[in-house]
Amino acid sequence: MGESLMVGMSEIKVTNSPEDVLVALGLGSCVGVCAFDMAAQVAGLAHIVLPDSTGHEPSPGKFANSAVPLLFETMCAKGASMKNIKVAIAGGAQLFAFNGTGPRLEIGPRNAAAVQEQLKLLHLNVLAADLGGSVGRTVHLFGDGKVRVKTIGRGEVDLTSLGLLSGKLGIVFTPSNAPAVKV
Amino acid sequence: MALAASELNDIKMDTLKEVGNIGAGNAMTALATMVNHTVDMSIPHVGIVPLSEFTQMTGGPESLAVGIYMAVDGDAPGHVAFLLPYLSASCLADQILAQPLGTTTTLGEMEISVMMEVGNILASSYLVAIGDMTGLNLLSSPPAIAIDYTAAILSTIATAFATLEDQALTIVTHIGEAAGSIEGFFIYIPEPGSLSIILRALQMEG
Repeated sequence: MGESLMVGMSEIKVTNSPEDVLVALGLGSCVGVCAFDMAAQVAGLAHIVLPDSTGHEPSPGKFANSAVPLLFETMCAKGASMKNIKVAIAGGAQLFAFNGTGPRLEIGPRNAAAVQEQLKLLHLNVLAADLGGSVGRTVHLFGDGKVRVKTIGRGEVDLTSLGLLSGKLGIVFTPSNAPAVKV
Repeated sequence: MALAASELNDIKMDTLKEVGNIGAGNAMTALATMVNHTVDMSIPHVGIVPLSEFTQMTGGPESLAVGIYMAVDGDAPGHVAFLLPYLSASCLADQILAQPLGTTTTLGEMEISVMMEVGNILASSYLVAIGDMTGLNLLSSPPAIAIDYTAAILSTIATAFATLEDQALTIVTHIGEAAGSIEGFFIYIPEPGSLSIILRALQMEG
């Protein structure tokens, strides 16, 4: 019987049970990195909170620069191999609307950029992305590689299936083409 | 010098609880005046608890909530936020706009502006009371609002604003209208460096 494994802030969870579902609830400025190796049936989800660990106490799952490599290490330890891993990412929103602007506004977009940078360093293509905007997202990674994103405004959307795609892109939402959100 | 929240003894924790109590008491009075009803509050919860632990407050991590955030500037910088379930926000809007309960089903521009003003008044009342108690000058920034999943709002407050080491100290008070249609949570997060400033002002620390 499969389980729903909740992936909290700064956590990384990896499973090789096809019935499990990995869930990151209510991502705001955080970014969820979903990764899947179809051949090895290994799925992993990282719930990343901040872009860069420089100047912070070590907390490997919290920062993009440490969490992204750790996600793949953990998956490979369970039998996945880098060449088979496919990736989808979601989150990095800017929830609060301010009248002004300032550095405190940019954590979401900075998280998204940092995650993309790390994936690029590892030569991993992102098959589907749902980033930015001002909406919170719940991300589900199913044991068969399906990635589902839920938001309050547009409900549930199956972003992609990391199990089926062979390099073809899934949906890529950006703030400019994302469906308008009404509450 | 920054005081790590983990170094706080019981007496200091109790003092911070009292700080939260005084602040929330004044905010509660302000809210009662706005809605013209009695408003109750809980004893503040003071602790080094990640904000994500509080997602049950408004009905679970994926419940729809309204969050109003303000930065605290002045002598002891920090963060305040008022979080309430969407339904409570709608009821609150009705009461403030003197409409029958149930009139507001969707928060539009007008209701959002009302919410921001409510947040502003509550935060100011909270901070004025703490300022009077400590002699510190505490000011709140203009409010910012988010309407989204509780978990998304709380995690955003925790990360984007509290520059959260997971050790941030939070002072959380539940505020509810006696009639039961409105409830919300007031969250106060002093910056780590501000804890000793507040305690020193209360002569709890040399």
